[in-house]
Amino acid sequence: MSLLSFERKYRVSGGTLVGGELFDFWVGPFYVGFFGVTTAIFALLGTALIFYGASIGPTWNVWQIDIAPPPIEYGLALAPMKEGGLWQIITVCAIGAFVSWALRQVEIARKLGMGYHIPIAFSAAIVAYLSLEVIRPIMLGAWGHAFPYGIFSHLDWVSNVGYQTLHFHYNPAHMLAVTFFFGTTLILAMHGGVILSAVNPPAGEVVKHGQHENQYFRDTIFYSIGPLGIHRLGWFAAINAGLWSAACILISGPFWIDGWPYWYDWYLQLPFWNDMGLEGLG
Amino acid sequence: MKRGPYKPRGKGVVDIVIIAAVFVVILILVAVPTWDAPWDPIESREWGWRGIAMNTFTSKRTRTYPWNVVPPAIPPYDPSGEPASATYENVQVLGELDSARFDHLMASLTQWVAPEQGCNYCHVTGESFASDALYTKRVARQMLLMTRDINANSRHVGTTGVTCYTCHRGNPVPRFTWFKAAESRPPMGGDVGMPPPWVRTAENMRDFLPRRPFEDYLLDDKPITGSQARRWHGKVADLGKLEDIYILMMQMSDGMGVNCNFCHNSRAFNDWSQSTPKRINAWYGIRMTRALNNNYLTPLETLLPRKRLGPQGDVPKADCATCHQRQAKPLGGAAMAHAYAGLYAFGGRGTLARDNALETREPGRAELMLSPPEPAGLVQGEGKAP
Repeated sequence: MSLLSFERKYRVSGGTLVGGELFDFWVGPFYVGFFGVTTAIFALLGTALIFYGASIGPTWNVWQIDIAPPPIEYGLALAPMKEGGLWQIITVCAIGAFVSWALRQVEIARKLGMGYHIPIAFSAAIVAYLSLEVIRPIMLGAWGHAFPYGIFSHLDWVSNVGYQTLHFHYNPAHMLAVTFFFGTTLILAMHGGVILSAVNPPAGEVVKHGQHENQYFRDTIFYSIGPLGIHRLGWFAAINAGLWSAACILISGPFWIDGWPYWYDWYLQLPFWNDMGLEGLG
Repeated sequence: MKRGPYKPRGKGVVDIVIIAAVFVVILILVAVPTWDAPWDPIESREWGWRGIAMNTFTSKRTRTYPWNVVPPAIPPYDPSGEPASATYENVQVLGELDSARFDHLMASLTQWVAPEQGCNYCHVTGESFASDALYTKRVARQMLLMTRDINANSRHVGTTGVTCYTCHRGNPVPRFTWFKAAESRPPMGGDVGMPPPWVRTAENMRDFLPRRPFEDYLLDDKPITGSQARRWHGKVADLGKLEDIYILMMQMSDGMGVNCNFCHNSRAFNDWSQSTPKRINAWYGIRMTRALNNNYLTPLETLLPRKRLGPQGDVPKADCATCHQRQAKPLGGAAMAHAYAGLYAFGGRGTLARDNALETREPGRAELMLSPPEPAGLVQGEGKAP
């Protein structure tokens, strides 16, 4: 495969965490590394097991294929292969692949002398996954609380987990997570829009740069966080989206089992309301 | 002269204040609400197919409500061989009962309903037991009729049976009842159509919900359908009605200490074939509650004094919480009634009709009721899917 003119300077040897020079090479445009190899092994094994699970299941309908965790009677024990054991192995493969990929990102960052912003951001997503599939099930005492691998079945899980606490939108951490999710996509859209406009001017006009981008937002929303700041803000909002969604599921069940609407009773039951002489009390 | 970088004064103080404020907010949110904890431990049960999270939870807090302890029973008395009507005067309901069993029941129901007030809660000191002078005695007679009807005829209660204690738990008036909402008189329109005291007297989120669904579904015979926000039998769902059903279901799950998943797979709340068998018993429960409110509780209006009535002059009425008191089975399913023949009106004129039973109306659904396995009739394991 031919090398692009600027690619040569990114192909820096060294900076590996494990394996020294053994896997320090490229396949086509892709860096391999020790963690590239482990990613491939975990991903292939996990995917093959999903196909195996589908093949012993009742359907090949892609919507309905379901590889579910063990029933909660099994607790945190290993389950028979066809009653959730497959799910347990696939979960190990998934975690192995995700963590390997994050560490491969670390190696690339070290090669290029970058900060670890990308692996840290990806780790927030891994933490959210671990919360759902490992941490919360352990806190509740059964792997059966984790979500199944299947398109419809995992949607059923999401819906039912929401209704386990009657109304998930009242979960305060969920409110924060949703706000960060929508926030980060909104600022990505705003930033992407201004960049595309700036670098694709109408015929006959020159390409615009940072000052135009700043001025556009100062004109429309009276503030521009700046071309560096927008990336820090996006990074912060995206990571918080992942971390608060991890928090919101970790408190649902392990730390609060009633309906989330009733969580707010503590505010209504604060002891000092009765002493304030408000109309209608007493 | 060399100038150092610009440092605004007092920035450190602002940082400290912000950090302290965040710390205080976190401290309040951890300390003030009554959180559960995984080391309680949280216990869970699965009501659906594995992996789809149709689970309910209990914590130490919900397993140890003090009012859900089964009280020690008074040991039964030896039968006297004489009916109560021969021993006592003016025995209108339990006349055929053996007089010793009658005494046993009287002693027990005093413990169940008026343990502090004792016999004199219903019987006037120094007067004959036969006297109907006190309103409490006339109400108690009506309540005995109700209990006997439930135990003999209620499909919902089944063979477990209920006693006075199921609702009263040592209180003359049961802890969980409901009234019609006060007439709304908002000055200047009030807040969202509700009078000002309402927002300040609410002690929990339930107080913010309108009471109309209780009247519609637990008093009037309004059909509880249309829970899906889409076309249903050619009609577009009325979202106002959807909220009413939601409120009814919230009191149900709250009253029983469960969540939606005890009965429903939330992907299709309305679909009986995806619901658990518990939903069928709940269906009977709604109809039983409606019958009790109409046949036994509302008629108490003429007996109860004003102080016992609600703002609209209505009697305290039953919903799911009245008996369940935050447990899936009241008192953990303790069959307290079995020791009291007087609490059963077999062969009597029951008003809890069995003729609207599901078997006769819709035999297909009723099949789900056949020999309910644990849990939920779903067979775990390979190749056994129904």
